[in-house]
Amino acid sequence: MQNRPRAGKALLTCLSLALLGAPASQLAAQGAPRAGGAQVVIEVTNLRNEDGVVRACMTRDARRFPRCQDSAQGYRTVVPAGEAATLRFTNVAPGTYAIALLHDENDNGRADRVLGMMPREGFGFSRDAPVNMGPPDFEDAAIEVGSGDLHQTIRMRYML
Amino acid sequence: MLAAILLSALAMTLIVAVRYLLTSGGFAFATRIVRPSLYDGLTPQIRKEVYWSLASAAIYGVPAGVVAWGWQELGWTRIYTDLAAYPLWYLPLSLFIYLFAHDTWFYWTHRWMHRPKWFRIAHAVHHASRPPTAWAAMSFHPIEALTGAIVIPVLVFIVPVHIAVLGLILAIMTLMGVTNHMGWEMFPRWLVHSRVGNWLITASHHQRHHDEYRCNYGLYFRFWDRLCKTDRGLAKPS
Repeated sequence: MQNRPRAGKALLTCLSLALLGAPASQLAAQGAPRAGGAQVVIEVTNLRNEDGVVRACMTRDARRFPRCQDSAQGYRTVVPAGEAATLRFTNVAPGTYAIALLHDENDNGRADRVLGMMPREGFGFSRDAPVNMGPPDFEDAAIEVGSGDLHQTIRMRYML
Repeated sequence: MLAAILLSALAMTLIVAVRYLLTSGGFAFATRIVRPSLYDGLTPQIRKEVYWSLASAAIYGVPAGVVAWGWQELGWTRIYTDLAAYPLWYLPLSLFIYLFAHDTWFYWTHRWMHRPKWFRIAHAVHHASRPPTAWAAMSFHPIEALTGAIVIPVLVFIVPVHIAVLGLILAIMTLMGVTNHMGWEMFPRWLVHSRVGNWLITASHHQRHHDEYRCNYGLYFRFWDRLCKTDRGLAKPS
């Protein structure tokens, strides 16, 4: 995804919402807010079942969106899908972020796809940024986090 | 921005060209197994078919690439990705609407291209394949290629379609384009010679168009041919 040659994307092949691996530890959901950081609360709607987990990540690094891999400037959390109606990132430093959610129904750590192209698991982005030939650009999903708390409602979408 | 549009057009041209080479190559290979001598002596003709088909790949690729770019960057088209955006019954309906609209457009432009003046200009290239082979699927003069290339890129602005259904439409278009020209019937007799088969176009029907020219103009369905009395039935099995 680095450098994103925008138009060269073959049909949906760049839908790399993998949100790979990393444990929930970096910022646990429900953590108590500490002084200095804002709280970002995400209402997740339209989850189609309670299978697996919801992987959420939030990054300031446009090149690492939507996967947030190896991101020093990001937060991530993994929550069982049955408990994912509300997600929280606490103690968030101010800045411009974009949020990506993956409903990892089989909890294998990646966005499963048909023929390597079309995701069969649900996804959602801040500002409800649309998915067309690939995931949205960082700017289309960007939100400003200041010193106050922030609420976002993200609707999950399923291609298949 | 212009560079991005050009890149998208180029990428789509390559995709169309590779798609053609893989499907036509695949069915040419199958022909060699199923009808070992069917293409004997046709090598010079096949070379021309590949040449015109690759030229057509650019004509198909450019509008598709521009629309794909506009879809991604500007939100163009009525292609949707969220399965819940329309009722599920709309999926098969949209498939049928696309196929029927394409068939209608094809039937009438095809008849127009069989008028003597336009036949010489635009359609003789395609009929130079005698008999056609699996490689003739996109062997069109640029004018004819243009009439085919704009159909889906225009329809996606008018008729909502899920991205997976669009993929299926393109797959059907590619498959039927190749198999209708390859010189043998791959669908079983019970389907081709059935009440459903009476309304569907497969190789047996389109082969007769290439044998006799002034009949069997349709693309997917025999509706217009039957309505306009241009349907002469199936070719004798080869």
